[in-house]
Amino acid sequence: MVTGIHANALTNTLLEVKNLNVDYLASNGTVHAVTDVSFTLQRGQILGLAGESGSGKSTLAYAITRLLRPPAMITGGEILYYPRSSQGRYHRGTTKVPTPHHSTPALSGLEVTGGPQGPQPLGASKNGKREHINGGNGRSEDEEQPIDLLQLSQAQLQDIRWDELAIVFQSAMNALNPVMTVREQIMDVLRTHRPHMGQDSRKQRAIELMQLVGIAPDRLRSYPHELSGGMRQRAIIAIALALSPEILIMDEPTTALDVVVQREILTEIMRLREKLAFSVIFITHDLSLLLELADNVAIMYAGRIVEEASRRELYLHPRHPYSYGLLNSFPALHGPRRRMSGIPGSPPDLRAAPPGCAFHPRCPLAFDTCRSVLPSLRPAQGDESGQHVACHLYDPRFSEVPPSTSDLARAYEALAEGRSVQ
Amino acid sequence: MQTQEVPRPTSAAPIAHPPSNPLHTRLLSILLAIWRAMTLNRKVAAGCAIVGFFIVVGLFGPFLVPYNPNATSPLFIAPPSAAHWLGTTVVGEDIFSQLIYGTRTSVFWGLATGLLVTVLSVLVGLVAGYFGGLTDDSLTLVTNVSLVLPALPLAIVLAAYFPRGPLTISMVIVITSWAWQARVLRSQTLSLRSREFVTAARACGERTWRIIFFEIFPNEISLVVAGFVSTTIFIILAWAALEFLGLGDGTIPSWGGILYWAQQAGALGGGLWWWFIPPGLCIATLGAGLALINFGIDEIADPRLRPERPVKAANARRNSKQTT
Amino acid sequence: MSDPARSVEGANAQDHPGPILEAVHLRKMFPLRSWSLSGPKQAVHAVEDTSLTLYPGRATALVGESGSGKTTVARVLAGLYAPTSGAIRFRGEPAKLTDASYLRTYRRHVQLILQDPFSSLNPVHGVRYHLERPLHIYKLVHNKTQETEHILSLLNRVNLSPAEQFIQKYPHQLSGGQRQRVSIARALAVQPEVLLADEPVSMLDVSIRLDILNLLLRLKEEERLALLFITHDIASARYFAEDTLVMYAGQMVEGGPSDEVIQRPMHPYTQLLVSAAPDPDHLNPDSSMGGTDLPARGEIPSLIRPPGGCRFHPRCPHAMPVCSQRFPGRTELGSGRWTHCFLYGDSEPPSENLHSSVTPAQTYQSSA
Repeated sequence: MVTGIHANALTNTLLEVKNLNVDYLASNGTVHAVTDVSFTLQRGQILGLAGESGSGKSTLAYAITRLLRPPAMITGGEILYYPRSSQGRYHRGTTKVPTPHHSTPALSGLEVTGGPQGPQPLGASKNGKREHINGGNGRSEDEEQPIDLLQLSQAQLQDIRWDELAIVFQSAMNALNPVMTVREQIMDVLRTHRPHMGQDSRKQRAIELMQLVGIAPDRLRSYPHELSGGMRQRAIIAIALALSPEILIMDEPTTALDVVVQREILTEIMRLREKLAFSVIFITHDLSLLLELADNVAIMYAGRIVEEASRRELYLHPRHPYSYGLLNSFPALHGPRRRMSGIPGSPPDLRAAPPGCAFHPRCPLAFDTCRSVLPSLRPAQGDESGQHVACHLYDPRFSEVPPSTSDLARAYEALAEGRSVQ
Repeated sequence: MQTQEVPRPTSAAPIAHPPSNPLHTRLLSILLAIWRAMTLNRKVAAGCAIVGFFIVVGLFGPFLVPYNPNATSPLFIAPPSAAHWLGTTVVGEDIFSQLIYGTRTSVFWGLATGLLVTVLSVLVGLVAGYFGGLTDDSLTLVTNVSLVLPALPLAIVLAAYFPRGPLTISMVIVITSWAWQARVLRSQTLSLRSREFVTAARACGERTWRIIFFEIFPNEISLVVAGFVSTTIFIILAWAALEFLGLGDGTIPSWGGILYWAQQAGALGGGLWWWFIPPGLCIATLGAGLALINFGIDEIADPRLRPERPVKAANARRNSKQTT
Repeated sequence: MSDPARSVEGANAQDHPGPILEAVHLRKMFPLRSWSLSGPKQAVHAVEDTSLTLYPGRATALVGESGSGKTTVARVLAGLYAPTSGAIRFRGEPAKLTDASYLRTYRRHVQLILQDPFSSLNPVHGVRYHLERPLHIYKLVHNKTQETEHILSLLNRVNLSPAEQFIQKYPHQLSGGQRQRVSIARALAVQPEVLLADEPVSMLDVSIRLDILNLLLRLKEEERLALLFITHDIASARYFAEDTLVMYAGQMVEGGPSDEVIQRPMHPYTQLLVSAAPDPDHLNPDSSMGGTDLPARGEIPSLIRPPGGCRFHPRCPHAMPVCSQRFPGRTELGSGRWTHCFLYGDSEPPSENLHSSVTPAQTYQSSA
């Protein structure tokens, strides 16, 4: 995982989050929902973010898209977005969506806004923003300059939203406007972001999108309540893909769906990704799903990333005791039946987070340092390209020999034994 | 590698019985909670101060007034002076004394009627909402009819028909204003009825009346209190209106009654401001006080309505930026 | 906490573990209010001819997706709804759940645990209140000391220690897992014989689900409880229960020992369910998802106008003309397995005509 030393357009980095901090300011104290989170998203990659309640994963998703509302506040960090350079994405006078139905190439200074919620006030033009970002110091557009999403003004942000960065929410069913048909909602998005598209091209695009996600185009005229849960989800995905974004953030998109529909939707997403080459940040509590879906997985606990690895590495060698415990909280569908136990205790209340490593009260391998010193994310095996884990067990300063997977297994079993003797 | 100690329940140790709080401690804690609720939010505190002021005046005022409110005197329509702080009426009665006595009538009858309306609407709303079916249909029919009937004309007719007095006015207001809160409570009950804790209570074997009054009703208390407060505002205004129309007992002083006599004597045209302004001001102020309490309750119940604390936020931002 | 009468029965049960709770050809329809005065009345056909049997000391899983009718079955068994037709038998005797006093006694033996820990406890009442109510309703304690002792021991049994602290808490001070334990303790308070658990862990964090499931398993062993475990997660059904029943759109499609049903699913719907479930252990880390095409697509049908015959036939890759005409009878597959599928046999349909007109459903809303 290359952390962003000035990456240029030729590397694969698409999004780089650096030391992001999000706090919730309540009258009875500040809650650090996301603390010091850093990760990188490559082009065409699916990054999975796994965590339970209080892990901060949803807050992270909202922070990246800057949809947080007070009392939540981003209190530090950078989110660097590396737009695609010379494929004409940002060239003046070209649109992004390479379909033949768009009649007008140029985007004028008319405004723009977020997703299906409806029109919002005017903002600066895309071209205007581009100049602004470059600082007008004469750089050509071909040279890559990452954009810090946290520094953008609201107007500039509106340009990025939906065009480059789209989000599918947890309660996607409720993100659809109940009094507008599906077609109206898609057209709404197209109208605001592509004001020079003709009415006919918009209709055509809407039909394309429906076919893309596997809904019969005659359902365009339905209202959301007339669609089943799975179809509503597909509709939301269609709206999210309307402008062919680079990054799709999906926050628990299939949690409320039945397992068969869930499988279909996920297959659909994989297929779309093949076809349209966007990257996905997939947020869920269901780690077993991520192991089938994601290229890389980052596990969050109490607002921090505690482990990140490719899915193969995570499945074969979970390093962090929490990762191991989480993996072993999913009963096996095949294979021998055995007694399993999850992780004792429950996720911490972020208002009263334990000192040191937040997981230490529940960890079967906790030792003294864990109670006082916060572990930082570091390579598990000494080289940068492999797994990263935030655990003192892998820090040579505190622990001589890092535990193997069977050590973790034994520790958890011992814990389960101790607990079951009651 | 050390393994963490597993905490084991002390099953060997004797079970310690936690003390159950005696009654007076519990009462004290409830009172303390109410006091804290009243003073914590500015709006509620202001509203409570106003209402409290009127209650105190209503309680003790009549003992301290200089004159008997019904006592006539030769000093007609006198503007305010040292002897008569708010001047006199057309037959020489002291307006200030009338106002004080009127406070007692208006405030206490207003609160009592409010209580009665609330009790009635709670009963109807909860029963209709919980049982559904035919019970709900018939009670809703009665509620809707009661809502649709024009309240003021009905009140006038009833008040004119029955013997004059505060009791009549109170009953008349109860009959014409219970329906609104009943509807609100019915819908709240409908939504609470399908909550899982009600299903769990039924599965446990709780009896129906216990479910209604001990499971559902406690969840609606804030709504009921808010309803009580807004109903009382309405009642005070309605009372004044009915008195103003001359439907009350003219001999019992009340704010509306003062306005009635003032109007009869043409005070407005004659510029006798000391006669009609003070009672109007009292009605408005008491109404405002109750409304403040209502806003405050809303703010306490829904954290999103609380006023922003920008200073704290700025401080927090400053502090955290330093640590990043 | 032993009741002499119960221990005698308990001894009998161990000698002859007969079924303790049975549902026989249960059907449940919910009539919809229709605004037309003529024409057939519409109804939601929630449960269509379901039969199941619960034994002491055995856990049975009822697996299905949304609209399968599994929750409705639980609520009918708990006495919250009256069945449209069919019977419920408790200890071999027919259960007269419309009779209010019978229902009260019945509820002492059959308890229900609900899905949502965040709304199954009344937010205005503390833990003590929730646990003392069943004790008072069934007069299991006679004074305050007994009550407190009983409550504390219940809390200890569900691992809410130290019990003295938890007894004073309010639901909003508890985590999801703790609330669910309180619900379990409440159900245990009356010492039931049957525990109906409606998706007890679906709304809990993943890492604490197993804890709760293990708790239920332990209680099952200690108390010889008959457990009905309703879930949409087939993997946890396999972990938890000895037997698994699969439902689709109100109809039972397959049943048998959990491992058998899940490793070698017979009914096409069960096969679909098993292939769709995420399975980390089956992972080939080098392949990515999306390779296998699911054997069937489509969505769960509307229950107001369900497909005729076997309700899975519109989605079934093996559908035959007979599948749309009538619902297949039960076919025994040996070793305790059975299915309702024409692929495996065409036994006689049950004597009750499934298409006859039905009487309007009654509910228990106002009784008990």
